[in-house]
Amino acid sequence: MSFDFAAVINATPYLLQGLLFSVELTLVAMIGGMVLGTLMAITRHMGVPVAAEAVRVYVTLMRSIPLILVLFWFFFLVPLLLGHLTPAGRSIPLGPKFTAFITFTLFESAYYAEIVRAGLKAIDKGQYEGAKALGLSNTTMYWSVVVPQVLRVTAPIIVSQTIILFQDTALVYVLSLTDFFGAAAKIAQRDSKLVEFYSTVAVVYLLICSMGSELSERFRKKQGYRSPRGRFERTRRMFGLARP
Amino acid sequence: MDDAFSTRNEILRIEGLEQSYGALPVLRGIDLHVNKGERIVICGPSGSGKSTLIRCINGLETFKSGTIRVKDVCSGEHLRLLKDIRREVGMVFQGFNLFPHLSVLENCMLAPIKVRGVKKAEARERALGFLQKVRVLDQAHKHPGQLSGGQQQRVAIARALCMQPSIMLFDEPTSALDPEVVQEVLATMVGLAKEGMTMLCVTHEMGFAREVADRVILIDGGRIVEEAAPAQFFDTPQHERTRAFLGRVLRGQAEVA
Repeated sequence: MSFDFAAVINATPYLLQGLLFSVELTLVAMIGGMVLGTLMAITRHMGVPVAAEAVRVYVTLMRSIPLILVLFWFFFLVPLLLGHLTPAGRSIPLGPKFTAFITFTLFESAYYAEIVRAGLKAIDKGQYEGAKALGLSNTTMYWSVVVPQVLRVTAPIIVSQTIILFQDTALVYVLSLTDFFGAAAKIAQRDSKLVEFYSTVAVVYLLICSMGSELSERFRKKQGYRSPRGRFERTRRMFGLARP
Repeated sequence: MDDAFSTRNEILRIEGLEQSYGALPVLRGIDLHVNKGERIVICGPSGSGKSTLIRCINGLETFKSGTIRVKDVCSGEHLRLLKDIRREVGMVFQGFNLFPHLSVLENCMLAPIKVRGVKKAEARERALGFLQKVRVLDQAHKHPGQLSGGQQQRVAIARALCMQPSIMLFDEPTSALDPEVVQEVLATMVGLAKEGMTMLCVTHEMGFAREVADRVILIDGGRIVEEAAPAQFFDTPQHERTRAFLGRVLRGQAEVA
């Protein structure tokens, strides 16, 4: 049984194009998802009437449905719905790329929202009180005091979620979009070299994802600051084992 | 409610303050006024409502009924105008509540810039000045986590002072500190008092109260039991509860010393 990895080498430009799209999609969904997710988490944490409830429903929904289903739903059903809204009544097609970017962002935002919300609750209540006592507005409090701390504390989990997101981008296959996996699959099928291509793809995913994990671990270790009561106290409080 | 003469001099007036946690009454009608430059010490057994009382002043706790007036800003139960009140009221917490991701200097600069619209350079000057006053200037570029408890609390005091409040509230500022550093923080507070800062202080440090307070107030069961100048309060307490409290506290402090 011989493997012809030369075919893989030859296909590198095409594979790289696919990889570029995967990375692009990941970045857009991560940044968009984090921005949206953070806003949603803050809305819920502040208990804004109506909006907080709407966020809760949205997050629960998005986290209960498989991504592949959300992709299909967005791709096939939303154009129909939009069509009903227009006077002509014809379905408005959304390009697969647009669908992918929007859907992934919306989907991931629900997950990021939960991560950030847990972070907001984990931050010492005294931080909120100290900020309020100084007269800081809610905006300043969240922007300058709370969220920077939340991001530092939740960074490893956010990186985890982003790594999962990166792997999930392979699902655009069902929209006939060519990401890294899709590019490899196409050529593998054309050239009948499934083993070579799929194992290469697996190795590349492995390398990228473990680099991400490693970076996050290094970042965590670099965090020098201590809260006045120390990390152990904070963790105990997070799990409800110590007085807040 | 206000007579023009007292308004000019009066920084804080609390009338009929009531608060409950669910069915449990915590404050049962507190009346209190503080004039400019006065130093008030509030003491009492735990659970008496003293922390709740001062946290109501700057809106960290809501209250059921009564009014709180800080300078000329009046706030009823609905806590309107909270921002205006918080600008005038500085607070120092038992747990310091410094922002760990900012340097000491940045901690002190944040509020003046964002709340009072002070320019960055001026905020910096002001912060450095107050940090020097509380004698942690050499720590200005460190982060709170690198400081000792006593230093952190002094930074917290400087941070509150940077907002140039009309009144400073202290919520058991030394209760979380190691005994060795309690004195350095108290000394800072005494220095503040001597400069004429209006202070409302919840504390168990009776020595501090005796040295600095204009009035000492005992709160028990959500009510003001006794309110008197330190000499009278400590030497000739009028109420049984005051005597009992003082007996316990001073005995306790004598044992520790």
